[in-house]
Amino acid sequence: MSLFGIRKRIRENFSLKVYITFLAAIIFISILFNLLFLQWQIKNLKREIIEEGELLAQVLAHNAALGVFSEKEEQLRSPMEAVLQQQDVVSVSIYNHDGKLLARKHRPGSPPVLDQSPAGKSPADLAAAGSYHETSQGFVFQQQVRVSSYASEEDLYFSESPAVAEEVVGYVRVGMSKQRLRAGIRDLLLRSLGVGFLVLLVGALVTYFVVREVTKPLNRLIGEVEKQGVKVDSTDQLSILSGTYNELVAQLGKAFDTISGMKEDLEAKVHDRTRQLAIANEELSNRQAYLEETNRKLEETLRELKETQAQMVHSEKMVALGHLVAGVAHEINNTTNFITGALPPLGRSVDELKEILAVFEKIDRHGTKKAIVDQLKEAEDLKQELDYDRLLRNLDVLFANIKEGARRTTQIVNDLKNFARPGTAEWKSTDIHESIDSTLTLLYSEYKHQIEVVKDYDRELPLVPCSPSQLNQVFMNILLNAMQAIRGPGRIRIQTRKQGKDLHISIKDSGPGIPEAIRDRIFEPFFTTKPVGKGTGLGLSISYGIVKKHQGEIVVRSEPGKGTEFEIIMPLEGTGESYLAN
Amino acid sequence: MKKILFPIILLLAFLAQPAFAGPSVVVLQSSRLLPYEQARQGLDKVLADHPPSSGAKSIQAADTSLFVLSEETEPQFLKSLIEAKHPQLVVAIGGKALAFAASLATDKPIVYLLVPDAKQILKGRRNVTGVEMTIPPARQLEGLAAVLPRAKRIGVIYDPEKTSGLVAEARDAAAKLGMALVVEKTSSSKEVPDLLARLRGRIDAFWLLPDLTVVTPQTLEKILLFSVMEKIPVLSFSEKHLEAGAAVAVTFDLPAMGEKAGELAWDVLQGGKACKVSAVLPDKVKIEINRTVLQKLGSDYRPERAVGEARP
Repeated sequence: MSLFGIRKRIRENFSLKVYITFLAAIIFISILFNLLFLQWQIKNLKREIIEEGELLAQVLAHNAALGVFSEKEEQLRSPMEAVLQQQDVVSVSIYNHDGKLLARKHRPGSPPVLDQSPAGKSPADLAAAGSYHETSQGFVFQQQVRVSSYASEEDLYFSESPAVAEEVVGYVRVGMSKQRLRAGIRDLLLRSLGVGFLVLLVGALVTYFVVREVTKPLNRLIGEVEKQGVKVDSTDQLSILSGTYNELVAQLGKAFDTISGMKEDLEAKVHDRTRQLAIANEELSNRQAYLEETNRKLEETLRELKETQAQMVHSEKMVALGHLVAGVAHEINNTTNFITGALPPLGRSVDELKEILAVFEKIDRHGTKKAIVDQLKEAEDLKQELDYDRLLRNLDVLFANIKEGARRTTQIVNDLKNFARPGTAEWKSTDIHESIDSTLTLLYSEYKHQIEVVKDYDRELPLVPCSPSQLNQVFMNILLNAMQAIRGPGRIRIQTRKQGKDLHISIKDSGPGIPEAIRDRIFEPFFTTKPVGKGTGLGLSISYGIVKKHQGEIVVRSEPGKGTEFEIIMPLEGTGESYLAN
Repeated sequence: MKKILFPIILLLAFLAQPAFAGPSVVVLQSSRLLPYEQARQGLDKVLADHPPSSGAKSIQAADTSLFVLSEETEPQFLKSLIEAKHPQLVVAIGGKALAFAASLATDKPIVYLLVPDAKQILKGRRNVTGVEMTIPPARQLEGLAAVLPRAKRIGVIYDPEKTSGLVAEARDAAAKLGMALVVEKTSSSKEVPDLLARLRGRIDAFWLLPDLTVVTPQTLEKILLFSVMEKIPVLSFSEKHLEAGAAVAVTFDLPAMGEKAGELAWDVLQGGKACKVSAVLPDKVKIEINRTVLQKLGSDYRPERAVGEARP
């Protein structure tokens, strides 16, 4: 592949571009760090050599102090040789205080420049200026040679670190070559190159795998973009991405425009709808006001209806009361007739008895026997004439009639009391048969001539918890309807029985029955088949309500031409909760 | 601040003195060096335990105040403080302490110890006594003979200007002990290595004198090196040289010197005649050896005659 081809490929391949960029960065950083590290290591090595040289110069200055002080070369020889044996030390020179050379030694073959002072500078100047100076061939270390003495005789005895008086007596100079430094630098360079190459190799491999993993999603994206048929007039991957991005941005712009348009339209619609809603809301408010007004009127009507209903119930009660009063008046009249009918014959019989008694009263008990016999005979005659025995029998009959009339009147009064007992809300255990009988007694005048009442009572029936006055009204309504339905001779059969936990009271008449058409309406309020003024249409409706309150029901069975049966079914152990709650 | 502080301290120092306190003694010490401390312990022991004689004051121990010069940063202030205490006696331990005591504006008596060159410091001041820091050469040579009986030729290097008197005394003492001094004179320490070379083969032991010309850190090193190389034991005046390589040291018993100074001080406080004499010599000396050095040098020595040994 030509150079142009390689450049083209790099330009077109994004992954390759990233890889090469990273690799270049790694090379750059590696070189930079290597250089810094190399510089630091060289600095350390140099410092190490300098510290060593300074130490050697100090040691030499110390060891040679007495030799310098006495300026005896033979005393300097040993310390100089000791220092000269050290690595890199190539020359050693010792001077007295005036700069006169006392001794000099140098390693054979070493550069002589290291034991010479720089031009114009004495060893004293150099030692005062600094401990070393560097030349192209090595380092030269200078050190002052000092001797000390005790300040006082007392220090001779006691002072462990005496306050000594020091005096500079000369100078030493140690020359060290740069051979070790150069070798060290060379070694460091080689190691740095080795490490740098290794870092580069590892870096290149790691970068390759990292870039490959990182650009996988990008390559997949480019593949997907190409699959979507996005056409961009460019050849490299980045340009494709860029083009795709631009196109997406343009599409996004269009989308935003559309959204903006829709938003404006939507705002207009929302405005319109809001206005419509406001109108609707106003209408609704008006309707609500209308409804409230209607409701108020309805409530008013309901109240009036309730009042009317109450009046109607009252009327119904009046009608029932009318029947009742008529019946009761008739009965009482009948029973009174027993008494009033018995009173004239009783009066006559009493008069005749009085007459007989008066004859006997006339007898003179002090008169003659004959007169007494005559008067007795007259009296006997009168007794025979008046049929004294019959007279006595009549008296018994008349008294019996009066007694019966009084008894019947008492019975009627008691039944009336039972029927219309005070405390309508009273809930008590009641003998149902007694209630039915009381009602029948009150209705006696209604049925006594042509209707036969047959009682088929279950004598084992227990007392039933109920409101007796209310139930009496039910019995009254149903029985009265039955009696009024039977025109001419007929029969009413009253049956009670216990079935499970319920009480069944059946009142069946032999009337014409209820026509099919109106059978479903008989419990409706105000529904009646009676002529105007004869009924309110509330009797059965009220009865139905009362039985419901007793947690019971009324079942109607009717067959035209054969009669109607009303069956009241209610629990034998009603709690009265429903009744009392209402 | 100091102007206010000073009168306050003076007042407190005055008020602090109890009505029946013992005699006031100021102890001045050059530094906290161990020899000074050891000597002061001997001094304190005598001042604290001395039996009473008579009078109200005699039943009280001496009221001593210690000042260490190396720890004081304000010498002038210290002087004022000491003078304000009106001490009856000043004890100076060390040369610097003596010089300071001599500079005080008081004529109260001074007792000194551990001062080698007291005469130069005092310059004729009167009412002073002390324990001289001198071990007579005879006693030193006796000590050497006791440990190294075979050492007969004793090498000495000295500066005639500094230790000629000592050497003269030593010659007589050596002669009495059957020894001979082999002496080399010098006026500069730089000659010491050469002089040592000249002594090679002529001596059995080398006697190190307390001579500032001969003894420097460099010459001491050279002398001790010479000792090792020539197998010549070194007799030193200080036990500190034993650790460096000397074989024998005849030196001071410091607590005993302190006690001696204490006796002098108590005598002065009691109005004795101690100050009439300029100084006294120490009663006791110590002979210490470095057994390792002696063994390595192959010397024939008598360790039982020594009273102590250098620390290993």
